[in-house]
Amino acid sequence: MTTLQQERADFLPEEGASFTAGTSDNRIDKIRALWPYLLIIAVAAILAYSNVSNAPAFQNDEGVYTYQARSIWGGSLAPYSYWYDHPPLGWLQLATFGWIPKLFGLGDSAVGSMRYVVASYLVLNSVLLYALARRTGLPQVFALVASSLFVLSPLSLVLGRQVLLDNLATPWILGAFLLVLSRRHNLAAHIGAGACFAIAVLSKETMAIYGPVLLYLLWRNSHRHTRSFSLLGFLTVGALFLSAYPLMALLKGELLPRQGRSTLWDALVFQFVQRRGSGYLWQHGSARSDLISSWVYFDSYLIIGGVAAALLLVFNARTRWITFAVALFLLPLVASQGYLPSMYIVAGLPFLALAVASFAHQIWRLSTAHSHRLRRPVKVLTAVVMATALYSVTMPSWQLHNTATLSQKQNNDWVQTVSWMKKNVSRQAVIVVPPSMWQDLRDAGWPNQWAVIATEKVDLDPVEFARRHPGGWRELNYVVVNEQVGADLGYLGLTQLNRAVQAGVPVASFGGTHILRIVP
Amino acid sequence: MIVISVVLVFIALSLTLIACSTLYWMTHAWWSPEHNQATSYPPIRRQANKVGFGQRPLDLPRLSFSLIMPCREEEEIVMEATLLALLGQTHPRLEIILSVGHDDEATVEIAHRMAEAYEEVRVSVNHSPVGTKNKPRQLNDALEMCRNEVVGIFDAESIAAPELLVNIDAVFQSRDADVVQGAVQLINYRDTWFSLRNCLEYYFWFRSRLHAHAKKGFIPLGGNTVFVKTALMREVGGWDGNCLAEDCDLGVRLSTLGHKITVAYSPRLVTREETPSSIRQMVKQRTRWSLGFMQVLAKGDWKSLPTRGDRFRAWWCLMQQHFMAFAGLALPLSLITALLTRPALPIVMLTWLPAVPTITMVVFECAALREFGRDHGYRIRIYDYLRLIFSTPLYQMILAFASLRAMVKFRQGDFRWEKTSHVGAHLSLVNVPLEESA
Repeated sequence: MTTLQQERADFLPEEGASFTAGTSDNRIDKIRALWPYLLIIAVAAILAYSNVSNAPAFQNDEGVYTYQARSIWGGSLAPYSYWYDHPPLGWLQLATFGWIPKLFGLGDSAVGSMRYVVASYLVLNSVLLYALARRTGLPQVFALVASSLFVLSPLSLVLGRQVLLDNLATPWILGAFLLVLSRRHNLAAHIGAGACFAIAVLSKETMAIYGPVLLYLLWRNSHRHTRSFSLLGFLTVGALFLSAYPLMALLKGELLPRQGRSTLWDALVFQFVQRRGSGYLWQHGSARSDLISSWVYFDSYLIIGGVAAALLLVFNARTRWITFAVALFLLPLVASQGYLPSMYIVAGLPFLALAVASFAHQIWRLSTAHSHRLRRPVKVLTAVVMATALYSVTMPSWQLHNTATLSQKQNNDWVQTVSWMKKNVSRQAVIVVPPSMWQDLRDAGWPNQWAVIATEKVDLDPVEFARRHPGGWRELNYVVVNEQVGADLGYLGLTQLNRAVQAGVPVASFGGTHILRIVP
Repeated sequence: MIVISVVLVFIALSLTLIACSTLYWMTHAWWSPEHNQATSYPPIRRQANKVGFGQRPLDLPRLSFSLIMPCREEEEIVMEATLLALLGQTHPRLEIILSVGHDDEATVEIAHRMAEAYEEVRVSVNHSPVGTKNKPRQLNDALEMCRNEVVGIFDAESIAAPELLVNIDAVFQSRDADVVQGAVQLINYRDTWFSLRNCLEYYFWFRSRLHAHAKKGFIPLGGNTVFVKTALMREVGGWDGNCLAEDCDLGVRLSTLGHKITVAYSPRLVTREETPSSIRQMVKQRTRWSLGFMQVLAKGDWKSLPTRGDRFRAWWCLMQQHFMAFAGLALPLSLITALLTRPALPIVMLTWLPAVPTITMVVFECAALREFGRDHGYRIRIYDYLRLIFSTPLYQMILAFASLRAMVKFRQGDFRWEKTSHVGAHLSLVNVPLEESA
């Protein structure tokens, strides 16, 4: 037995102080272990929910996931033909919880209301990140640093509160890491990790990049007597959960290419072969380099600091997996020119924050490990220097961004456009609106999804559109165009809609949003 | 349509639940490193021979054993192999009782010949009327002749490992046990298409599942390589002569009375046995077991367990045969119904849910097959893995058929003993060199 315990001690992550105490004051320890969680929940909740339906401005993708979630309430995966753009588990989660903010009347709009669900996921993510940091061996303080960096980063507050699938996938991937690092090396935990990983991927496919890190950790963190079972359990359950997606396509008869149907095969060909890439990172002016610059604009510190810290963590065997995780996350950024979704960074943020905190912890240990006499002053000095460095460097820029996010009303144009439409346009008119407005106008009395049409569906759901509107674009009465729609006209090649826009006469404008009446 | 959907959902969820609980039991030994460690024998050899500084040696050998070997229509070579393995035990204090029925004259004669040849061997002849003869009644007669502290059972087709008794002695002492269940392993895995699955089933049962039951304090014992303190055995009135699964019943009664039952596994100490020689034999054997489990469930000794949780666990454990029959009927029916009636997509997807634990189980079986090969020194080939995977559906159907057959027999009150015959196929595979031990 002793050998077994010894062996375990070798590969066990070091435990934090408050977890190791004896049984006598177990309850006090439990409370002591609990307060950081309460603190995180309180702080993260304030940041996540404040002003959430006013800033940042509503994005079209948010509208898509919102109306698809609401469509699930009515029994279908999407109001338009579902074309396997993403596995539906993300908006299935939205549908599961979306009724709660609605019940309490939170958010004045469909997307705004759904944002309360996503904000809750942000709170959950910061809590899970704290737990993960603790499990990696960080003491409470440094785990709190990780969690606070994550939740205070302007990128989190901007992207982390939007109705994006990545936000819904993040807790599952963090959960998979937590379970893989389980201290009890429980087979159940490893099977659970496989399930969590699969759910993460079925919520947002990009989470698949973390698969190899999870396998590496599983290998390292399982006992040799039970390793084959752990690995096989993880892989099998993961694969079986993932197979639900092709199974669904198969049952719907949409697995392989078929005339007149959107199929999973076509979607995969589109995503991996046909979709226009974002160019290489080093190509000036490529979509990729622009996108990365925009992330860095919001938060250069967490991105650059996190990457640097992650690289240095490679020297410590216990934190090497963080290097591995961040490297895999960066791989599509630097070594590819394929399509890069604008919210890709979301999945990387927790690991970047964890890298910074782990690195800080290692510096701290180095500086406090050796001399005994100097110990206390050195400790205090290191702590002060580190805290000052960390927060004084980041805070001015972060505060600027975060104040904007937490106070400005960035949806004024949107609100005015929607209310103008409601007031001035007949419900018999056929209107084309950005997805972010779609659900609200649908609720305002337009009879069906082909009376109020989401922007890209005129061209991208062509069979259905032609069936409902045999006259083509000439049957459209109003088109709402904002900057995103303008970009999509060219990027997505929306030719029919473009013709309508050409024939449109502006009847009202709110900021960058224009309402056009179509004169065929 | 709604009725069909509700039924499909109910079937899917219950099958998933059943499969998950089976998965948990089967993988108990690999659940965590601690579990893996806890399933083995205490390390006595080192302590007995080379005692480290400050270590107290176990007092070995300390107990004395009466080993009962129930025989019925056995071939002489089979009986002799079993007997020689027992006589070859490194434990010095043992007697062997050959238990036979008076109507089975050939076996009685062989037994008497063996008793003359070896002084440790005696014969117990059961005189209960022809037609009511069965294993438990023979065992009860033999129990009366037992003079030693612990009574152990060895079926007349099994080969015990030479150091088994010494180790069992150690388990009795170090775990302060009343009952010790040793492991039985079928080994002729290459003989028939189903023998591999059958071997692996035993492997899971003794390597993992029984340990999980023992940990929860409710365990259906096996009928071979099981050891009980003689005094306790007499106190509870021996085996139930009316029960087809006298071993399971004994385990249930002793568990319910709160006696300490432990299970120990080590690949070098397993008792080797052979698989049934044909499907027909296997169905007979399984029907008997299923019927026995159903009898034990109906007898209801388990109902006097103290807490509701204990009773539920006992019920769940004894219901396995019913579940197997249910699964055998429900799974194909629900799949066909789902395909023919085409209910809503989520419901069709749900009928697929039981596949998750089931397929996971098959994958774990492959991992276990690897360990089985390593434990017993067999080279497991790709072909064996494929055989394991592809024989799954048919094998499960046979088991389900046997359970259904048992249910029918249970309803008809047909509790006759169907004996499984063996041909001694494993005798050439075992490591005990027979001539030498003689």
